[in-house]
Amino acid sequence: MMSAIARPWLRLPHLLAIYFAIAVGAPCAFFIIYELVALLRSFEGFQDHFVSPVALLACVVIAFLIVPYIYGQLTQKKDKQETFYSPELATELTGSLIASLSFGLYLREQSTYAQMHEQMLKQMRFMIENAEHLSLSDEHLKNLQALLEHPRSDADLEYRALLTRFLEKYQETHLDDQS
Amino acid sequence: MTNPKEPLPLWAQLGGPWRRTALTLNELAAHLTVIFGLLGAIKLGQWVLFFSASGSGELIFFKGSQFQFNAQWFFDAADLALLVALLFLGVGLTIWTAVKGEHK
Repeated sequence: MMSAIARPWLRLPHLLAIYFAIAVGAPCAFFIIYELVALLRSFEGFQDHFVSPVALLACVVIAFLIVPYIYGQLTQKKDKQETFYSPELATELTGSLIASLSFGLYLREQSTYAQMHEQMLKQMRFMIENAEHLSLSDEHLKNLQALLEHPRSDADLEYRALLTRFLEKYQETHLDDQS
Repeated sequence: MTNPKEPLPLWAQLGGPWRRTALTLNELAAHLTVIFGLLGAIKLGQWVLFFSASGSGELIFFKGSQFQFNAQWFFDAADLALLVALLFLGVGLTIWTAVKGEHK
């Protein structure tokens, strides 16, 4: 009876590894599907998403590491599962932990960039609304026009559209002032 | 040498269902411990990520002109996957324990 009670708790590290791998693997699968859909959409002309090949590759690698591991854990002989600790288990747990941490850091970086982009858009909308009150130097105007000529990603399309509107409005209002 | 067809003593027959129940609850408790531990760790990670990156409860990721992707979806996917895994793996093993007496 005591060994039967202890058995599930001795399998706890393996259960933890399986559930953890599933918890990390599911968002990766979700992300892969999302990126693939975005990639297909961009081929059809919907240029509203920037596909990150590095993140996609990382997720595919994680998925290929995790899926065989879960399969191996579920199909291996039961007597092996009763081992409390094994170097393989430690390796898999460490690998999954590093993968999820790096993915979290990647998310953080991308989100910071998205927030900066949102701030730039807000600033540009404010500049459009107040174009007639602004006074920009020639050098500043040249810099803004240079931004239009060097697009970095699909995410910049909205910014470029706003910038174009601002420059047009600025030139209209200031031409009126000069005339 | 006891005959395998010979009925068990009364105390063993009475105690059998309680023993199975205890073992089943024990199996379920092990799974729930892991699941709640992981859900807590995910929530903690989510909190650290959100508040260190934005200082608010929202984290937009990959904002396009027509569509935006919220980082919350990753954590929701992880939570959902854990619950589905518990449903299949945890409940499956628990039922197996209840049927077989103990999971071997």
